[in-house]
Amino acid sequence: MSIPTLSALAAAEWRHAPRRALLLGAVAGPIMIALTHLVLPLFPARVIDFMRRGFILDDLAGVLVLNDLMAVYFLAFFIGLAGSLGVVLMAREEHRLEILLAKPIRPGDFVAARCVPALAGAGIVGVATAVACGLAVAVHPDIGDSVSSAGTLGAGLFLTALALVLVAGMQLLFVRLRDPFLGLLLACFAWLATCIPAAVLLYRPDVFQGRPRLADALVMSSLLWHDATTSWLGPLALVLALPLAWLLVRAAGALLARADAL
Amino acid sequence: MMRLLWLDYRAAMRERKTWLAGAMLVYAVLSIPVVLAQPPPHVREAIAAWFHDADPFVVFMFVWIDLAMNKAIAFLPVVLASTVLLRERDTGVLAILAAKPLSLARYFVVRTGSACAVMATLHVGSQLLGALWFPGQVENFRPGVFLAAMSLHLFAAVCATACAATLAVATGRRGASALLSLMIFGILVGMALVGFYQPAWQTATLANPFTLGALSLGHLGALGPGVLLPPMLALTALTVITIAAGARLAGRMEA
Amino acid sequence: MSDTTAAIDVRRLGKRFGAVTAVDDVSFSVEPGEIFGFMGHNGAGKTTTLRMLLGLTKPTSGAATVLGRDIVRDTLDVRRQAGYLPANYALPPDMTAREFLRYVGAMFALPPRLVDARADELIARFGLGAAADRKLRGFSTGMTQKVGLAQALINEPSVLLLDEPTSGLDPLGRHELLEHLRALARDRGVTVVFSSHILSDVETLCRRVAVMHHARLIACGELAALRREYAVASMDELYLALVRRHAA
Repeated sequence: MSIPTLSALAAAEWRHAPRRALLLGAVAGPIMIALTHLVLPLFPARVIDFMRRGFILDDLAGVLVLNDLMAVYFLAFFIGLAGSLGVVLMAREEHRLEILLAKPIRPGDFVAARCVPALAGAGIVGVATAVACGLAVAVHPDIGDSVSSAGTLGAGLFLTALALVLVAGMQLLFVRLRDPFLGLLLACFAWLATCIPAAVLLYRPDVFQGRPRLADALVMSSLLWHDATTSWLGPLALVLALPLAWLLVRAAGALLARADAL
Repeated sequence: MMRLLWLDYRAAMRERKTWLAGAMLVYAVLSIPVVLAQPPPHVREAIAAWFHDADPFVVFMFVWIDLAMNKAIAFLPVVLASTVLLRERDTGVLAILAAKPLSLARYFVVRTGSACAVMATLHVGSQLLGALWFPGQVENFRPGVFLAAMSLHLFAAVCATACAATLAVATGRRGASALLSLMIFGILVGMALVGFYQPAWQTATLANPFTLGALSLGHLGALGPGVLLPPMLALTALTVITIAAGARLAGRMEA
Repeated sequence: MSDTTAAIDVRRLGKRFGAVTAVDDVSFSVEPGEIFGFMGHNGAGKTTTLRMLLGLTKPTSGAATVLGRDIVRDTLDVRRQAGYLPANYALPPDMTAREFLRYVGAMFALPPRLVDARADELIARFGLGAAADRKLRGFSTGMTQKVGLAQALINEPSVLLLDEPTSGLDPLGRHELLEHLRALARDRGVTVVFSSHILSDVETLCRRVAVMHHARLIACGELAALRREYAVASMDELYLALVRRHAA
């Protein structure tokens, strides 16, 4: 009897993976974008100005897209995370991991195959929401011209790429943990940590004074400062994120192979 | 039941995730004064306009609630409570506990009460630490007002924990309940201060428990029982109703 | 008619899960202080019957009493008097054995001092002293089963329902467990329902048995009388004879 190939395992995992979170994200993303575009323009000018000046944006379009991008990043990360917690952590806690690892499958292949639905879910929801962002800018031309549809889509794809890499990277921790909700807490912290530079820009812009490259590298709103670049950087980042995420997942598998399953 | 609640609370307080959550709150206490060391003029002006008060303490309270504590009560209750009963069921512990002379509904109340108590301990602990640390760091810091304002916020934290537990038994799946709670709390936190930005919507935003928890922001100059008690009572009622709904759902669960 | 002197009295009990009949028209009674064997293959309906006796799942037909209390109406009263060790369970990994026994004791609303004393006594009785303050995460199957039995005894139950308690135990562990059960029935008058598909354990421990097969009770009575009736010497032969007759 031969050992099943990784692609066969991944296909089986994809077939059996629950689709509820994916559907929830695919529906919630466009709804959140639509609500942002309907509600935020109704805010007083002072609020819009606060966000515009705080995040160094040119017009209402920038403010709206920045809020849209939070929806992309939130949904892609947490939908990927919901699946990612089940790869090893929940299986371990529910005493299923030993049974699964006792099959003629390499631990590395096991982790990689089970990560496929989680990463694919994050990717699909992220891309779908990013497309919704781009469309929202296209059908809403009166909000300003500081960001283009292509730039918005690119920024959404960039954040989807970041979410994919983060979700894959969390697996390195998850294979060593026993409590899924400790994993969830660490993942929440990782996600919040990536948002901290934006808060620093809002309340302590002096930190980035004279360091534009630091702000470009760390602050989420910088994606909107370079609209033309983001329109090609986003898709490129997503293309690069896939092998990087795969590498992280394989590294997590290698860690599991070296550790005790339980 | 109180003894069981106490034992459950003690066990939860010893868990690694509780300590990590505590460490995150300590980080928030230490980092917020650094973040707020030099707020730019447009931030000070905007906050002064929303809350009709140019006191630097108001800027601090806005950031402490909006940036630190509202984020904490959107994430920590999910970690503490969105596993209530489901973890016991999925791991097989409930097979033993369900056979004891305590209905699943009552056991849900115990577990949720314990999670709420852990959340309250973390919340109170971080405010007390803040009350000690902030006076030397924040201009015009008023410990009494700070603690009074955050005592209202505590009720929102407890309410969020009860909601997370009830969503857990409503969905019946751990991953789904955590995801749903995070999404709902994320939206509610995002909308929590909208009533201050757009006064025309203030009444409608009172349906949001996170808004109720932050209501003291608009009255920092005259904070008293008249301001604090109505939202506290509303949040208590909401918490009790939420736990009762969760207990009803838990009673229908098969062990 | 219900047997008012019986510790457990089951009358035409049935349970359906949709189209599947898990328990079909089962009747038997268990005397106080008796160790009663409850036999059958996996999936025969033993676990569902025990779960119904504790009110963990509601019967769709029939009735039963435990210590005179109705299993549907007086569920919590039944549980207050009963101890239960399920077939499949886990212990909370982050608690110690002592903490877990205290936790379970608190579910009976017993005074803390009494619970502590009983926990200490059970820890000593099951030889768990050295491991009592260690996290349950690393416990072996035998140790886990001892803690499982200890938690079932924390309320000093009058009725003990044990679902496959010896499966997974090594011969020594099995012998110890059976000795504990004998002592409980003999010294404390505890009524034990011992559900198992390990026939030799039932033969060693029980005077009377009930045999379930495909959701139905196919025999109930004294083991010796059943052996005589079917003209067989061993428990294995008796079980096979019963199943074959039922199949025919």
